[in-house]
Amino acid sequence: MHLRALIAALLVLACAAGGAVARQVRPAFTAAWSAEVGDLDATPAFSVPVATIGGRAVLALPSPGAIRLHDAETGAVIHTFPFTLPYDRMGFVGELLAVIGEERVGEERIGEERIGEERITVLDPVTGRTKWTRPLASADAPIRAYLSRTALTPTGIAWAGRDGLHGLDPASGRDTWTVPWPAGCPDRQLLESELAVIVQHCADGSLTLHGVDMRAGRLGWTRRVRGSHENLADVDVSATRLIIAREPGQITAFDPHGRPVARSRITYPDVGGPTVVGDAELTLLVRSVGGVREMTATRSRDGRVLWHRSLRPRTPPGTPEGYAGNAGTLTAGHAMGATATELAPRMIEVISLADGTRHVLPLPVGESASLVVGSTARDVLLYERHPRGDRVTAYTFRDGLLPSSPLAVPPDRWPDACTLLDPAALPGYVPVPGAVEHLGVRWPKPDVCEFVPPDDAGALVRVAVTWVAATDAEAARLARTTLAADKGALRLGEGAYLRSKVGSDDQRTFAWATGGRLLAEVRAGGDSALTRRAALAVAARLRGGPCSGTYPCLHG
Amino acid sequence: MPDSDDKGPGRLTKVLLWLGALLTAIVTAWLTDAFGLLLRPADLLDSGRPPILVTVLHGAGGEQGLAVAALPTAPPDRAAFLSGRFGDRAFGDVVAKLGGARVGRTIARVIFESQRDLVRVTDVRVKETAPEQPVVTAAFVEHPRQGGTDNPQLTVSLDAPNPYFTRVGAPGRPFFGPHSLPLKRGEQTELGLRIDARAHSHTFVLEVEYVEAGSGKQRTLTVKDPDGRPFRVTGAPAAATGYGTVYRNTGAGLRAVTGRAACELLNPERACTSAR
Repeated sequence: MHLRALIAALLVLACAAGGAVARQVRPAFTAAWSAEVGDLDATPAFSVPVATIGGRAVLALPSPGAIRLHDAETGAVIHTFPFTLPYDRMGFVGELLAVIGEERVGEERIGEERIGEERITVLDPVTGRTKWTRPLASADAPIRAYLSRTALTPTGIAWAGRDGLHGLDPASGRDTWTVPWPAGCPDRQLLESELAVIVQHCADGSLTLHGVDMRAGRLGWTRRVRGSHENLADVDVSATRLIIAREPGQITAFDPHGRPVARSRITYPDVGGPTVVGDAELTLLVRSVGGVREMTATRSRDGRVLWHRSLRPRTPPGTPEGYAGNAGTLTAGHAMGATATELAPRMIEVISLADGTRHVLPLPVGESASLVVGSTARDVLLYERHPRGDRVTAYTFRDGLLPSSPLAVPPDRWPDACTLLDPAALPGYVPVPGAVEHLGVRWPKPDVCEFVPPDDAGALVRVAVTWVAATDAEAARLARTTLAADKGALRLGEGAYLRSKVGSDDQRTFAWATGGRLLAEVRAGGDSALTRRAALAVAARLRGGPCSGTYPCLHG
Repeated sequence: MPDSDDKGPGRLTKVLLWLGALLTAIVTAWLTDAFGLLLRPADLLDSGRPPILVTVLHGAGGEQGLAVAALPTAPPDRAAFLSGRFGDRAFGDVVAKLGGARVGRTIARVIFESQRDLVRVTDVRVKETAPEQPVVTAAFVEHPRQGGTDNPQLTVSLDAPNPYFTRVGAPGRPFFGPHSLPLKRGEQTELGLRIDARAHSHTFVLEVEYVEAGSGKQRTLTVKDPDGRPFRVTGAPAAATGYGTVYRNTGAGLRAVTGRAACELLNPERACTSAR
């Protein structure tokens, strides 16, 4: 009996020790590779197609005058396909790569849309040659304006014509079938899942979805999505090609065969999502419940709940979909979401699909200039705007034992924002330290400081440390990215820039400064001259201004 | 004399061991969230909820500015106030401390959700929680400009001796009484409420009366503003110059304005040629 008790005690101690070690495990991101994509000016709709061809993971990226096929692990260019048309989008169809370009702008008539003629080009990633190319007479298709008129799906290609949806043989480019447009509501949209989905928008706010069998060339299934005049129904395709139908107060996810795989209520206030991603093993549902983002993981085969978590922040994530570009979420084993904070770089939520454990990690990428544009089995892909050609960078998520903060420069080595502005520059102002926590990461020193004027004649000045980079190169890259995102920015002096953004008084009162691996935001409400002065003072301080006991040196 | 065979643990010890094991199992299950594995999403969402859930949101846009009864003096309060961030908790706390109130009207979006098969909202009324006061005039703070619009369905004027909600555009007859709001399980209904005041300042909560079908019990719940405080609304002074200070909300912070700029801010649809 004593022996048993001893074994039990040892087990408890071992578990406790294991738990302590587990708590220290902190994941991190490292850049795997980066590729230049030219002046892409990507929107949130841009996504990087990924496929496995001949056992090798590949992805396709546009580049100036070409489409490049890259090795997904190393980023090495496998093939370069010349492509001179204005690039629209692309996708893998089986083992072929289909690219849509806009050939020319159609006839412009008064009161009509300018719709360009689409040209599809199919590339062979195995031989490195163009297989075929042809125009698509889709300009007159009865599809909602500005929405896609072509569906590039893993099982086939379809394009919208005046009379119906036409199927193409991916090998030859010849039309093989035509499905007449379903009768009824004439306002249409085309979605890309594993197959093409025709969506009919009806006047009563409801939708009718028709799944198209891409091989047989016929309508396969039909689903009705309830709506009302006040709450129009909505439909989208998630990163793992599930079809997400949003009815008033409820979402339903259908698989590509039209079978419902998840259903949940959504309650106001809406703070993000909803989305559903899944594979054969796991279905992950994110939706808003009473002002909190909730995430539930269920086993795909029987719907059993595996775990359930509330997510932070309560506010909507910065990316439009909430969980944008999540194709790799399940293959990588994690869910990603980007969120805008006081910090310039994105804080990425990482949620373990095994148990819902959540980490918030920074990716040192520049604020609105960056987008999550996809993922591979290993990496999350981020698009960044750069002054000398935009880039797509693959970041690898790694588990590891890190003794301290997940930040490259731990919070305790970030400076007090109140020390970034010489009090002599603002006579009579009183510094008030501000926020010290973002998304669960605690900063021991204030990373925001508001300088309060002595009276109403002065403007409130706000200085916020937005990033401390680990290296000079990373700081320079962030500064370049920030600058590239704002073409109208004005250089005020060494390391100080005035943003083009204006306040409601039409004054430019938002600035930023960089120096000594730091980036800082500076603004003075309603006083552009003071904003400029303060930004220059902060930049001078960051670049080695005077230091003293109360005003510590920022560099070595 | 026979020897005693009872060398092992006593009966009480065994019971205590069993209880200990059971307690350990329950605590372990709780710590590892094992109970969650037995529940499906619907169970997770529905368990232990009251018959009706009420969520209050600020208006989506077109909100009125604020008036405060005093100006902040402590630097931290001044920093929070001059930030002008209406949605920020620190700003809301300081404004509440300064006796802040929406000017002219306040819009509340109230979302009802039933947790029972059928719940019927039979009345929504204003309940003043403090005596009415003179209009608030120490300072006016512009609401940050937003693109949204509000389309409230019901309105009430607190200047009336016996205020009650009527349909917007159909004054005179109370909405509740002849009408009620039936809510089916899981169904959400958003009610946009506009509360006007011209002559005084008012502090109030909303009282929601509802009946749960089946039991027939009538219940009342109290609704406060999204920050959990009573709503505040005030009339405006007769002239724009009635405010001690007028602040423009630049989006980067508040800035005091005077003369024509103040006049234009307070009367956007009227030509301001002088300091009026």
